[in-house]
Formats: sequence, C-alpha cells, structure tokens
Amino acid sequence: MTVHPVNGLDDVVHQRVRLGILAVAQQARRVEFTFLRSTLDLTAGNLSQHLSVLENAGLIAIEKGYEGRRARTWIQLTKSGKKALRDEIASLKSLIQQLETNAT
Amino acid sequence: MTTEPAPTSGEPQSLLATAHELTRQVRREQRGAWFPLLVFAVVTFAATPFVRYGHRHPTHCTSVQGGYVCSSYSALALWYWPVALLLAYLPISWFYLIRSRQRGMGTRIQPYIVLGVVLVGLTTAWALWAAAHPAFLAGTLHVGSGAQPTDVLYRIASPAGAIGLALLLLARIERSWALATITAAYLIVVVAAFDVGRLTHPSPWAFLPHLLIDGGVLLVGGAVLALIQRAQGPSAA
Repeated sequence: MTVHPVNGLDDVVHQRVRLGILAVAQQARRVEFTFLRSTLDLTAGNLSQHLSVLENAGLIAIEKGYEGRRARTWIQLTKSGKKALRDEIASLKSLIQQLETNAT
Repeated sequence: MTTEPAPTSGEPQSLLATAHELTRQVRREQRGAWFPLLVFAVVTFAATPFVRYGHRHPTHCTSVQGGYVCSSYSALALWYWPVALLLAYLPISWFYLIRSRQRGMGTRIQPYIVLGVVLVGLTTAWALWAAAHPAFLAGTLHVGSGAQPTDVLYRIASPAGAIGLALLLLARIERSWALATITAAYLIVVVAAFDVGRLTHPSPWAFLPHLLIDGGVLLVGGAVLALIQRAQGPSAA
C-alpha cells in the first residue's frame, strides 16, 4: 500500500512561520533574532513562541551572547532541523504532484 | 503522522512558494561579490609597476622563424602576486564578516577564502617552478600559431586564473548567475588575451594591455554587480 504524502508532514515543521524560520536558517549559516523578526514580519513574542517549539523539537539551536554592549540571539539549524526541512519540502512536492495528478 | 486537517490544494503550493521566496530573499541579502571583484581589480592594476620595473631575468632563448624568442620573468612580480592576492583575502573576509554582523545573518564564505588561498599557493609554486625550469616553458609555449592547449593551461595557472577559479566557487556559494556570467567572461578574456603583446613584442610595456583588460573586466563586473544590488533595494545593496 502506498503511503500518502501527508503522512510525511511533521506537525512542528508544517506551519508557515516555522517552515519560514527553517528555510531562512538553512540558507544563512547563522541567523539573528532581529533579522528573522523583520524578514518574517513577526512580533518578538510571536517569533519567540515559534522558536521555542522548534528548539524543544531539537530542530534549532539558540545561542545568546553579546557583541559589544548589544545583546544578540543567534539561531542555527541542527542536523535534525536540516533533515526535517528536507523531508518537509520533499513531502510538499510529493503532495502537490499527487493533487495535480488527481485533478487531471 | 500529522493531526492537521487534510490540506487544500492551495496550501502546499503556498507553503513551498513561501519557503522558496524566503530562501531567494536571504540569498539576495547575502550577495556581496562586487567587493571581491573591485578588490581584485585594484590588485591587478597595482601590479603594473611591479611587472614593469621589477628586475627582469632573461632565462632561456630559442630560435624561432629566423629570430630568437627569450623568456624572462620579473622577480618583483613573481613575489607581488602571491603577497597581494593573500592580502586581498583579508579585506574580503573582513567585508563579509562585518556585513554578516550588521545584517544579522551568516554567509558560507569560508570555502571561497580557503580555495582562493590554496589556488594562490598552487599558482605560486607553479610560477617558481617555471622560473627555475625555463627550458621546459620555452619548449612548450607556441609563438604565432594561436593559443594552444598548453598556453590555455598556463593562463589558467596564472594569478588571474586563480582569481577567476575562486570566483566561480563564490558564484556557486552566492547562487548568482550574474557573478557566474561575469566570471566566465573574465576567464575567457584571461585565456583569449594570451597573445596580446606577448613575447613577440619587444616593448617593456607589452604586459600592460593584458593587465588593463583583466583588471577592466573585474572593475566593470564589480560595478555592474553593485548597481544590480543597489537596484534591488537598500537592504540588498
């Protein structure tokens, strides 16, 4: 029996903002909290909530520190995060293909 | 297994499009290749006095078509290139580091710097070896018969070739077709301009057109990239 592509979707990743965070963090080696907030157009509180979900799932690592007097929060994708993003993109592509096949 | 409701047909496309758009946006923000191009243009132009006034060592003469062709090298230029190219990677690294801090995102620039430094080492080793074995060089160079495969190889193994090959990797890292195109044009010019004023021209300034063309392509390429990034908005400049 063929497994439906929706079974490959992960609840943690299959969410627009969290997918966006992973996509941005994948492209940049490390990404700062403020860059994510402005790029994704989120409030600090909203972004923090999504980051907590991803961190608890082990998909990102959060590093807090200072550059001069300025506090900085850096986000980096973990190996699990890279794999989760790859799997999610593959599942989405597969799902789109299936939906298009069914539509014809 | 997901507990989300079954997706509508628009949702996966929309999610995928969002992820791709964000990736493209970050790539645009990360691009800064105009700076290395301008740095290497300056390095190329600055080579002029070292090549012109560096003490020339005639090394080997061969008889060609009733005359003689002598190979020679400038000791000063031989040392200028590795030092200048290695020093060039310092401001380039600094530029990407500062940008990374200012914008709040990293760039995977290390492979470019490492490859650049390795290529400088290889081309320097080759230049030193060629200077020590002039008979080999004179025996494999072709005069007046157009560029031969060995000539192309020698040009690629030059400092200009080292700059171009490393820039190809930078184009791959930045996923920039514009930089890839400029670099390809630069490498073609580096290889094709092989016979410009070379060997058969007795002038001590015979090298100059070559340097001006190489440096000119880098300068124009850097300016074009800077304009493209400026046109894409202040955040991408």
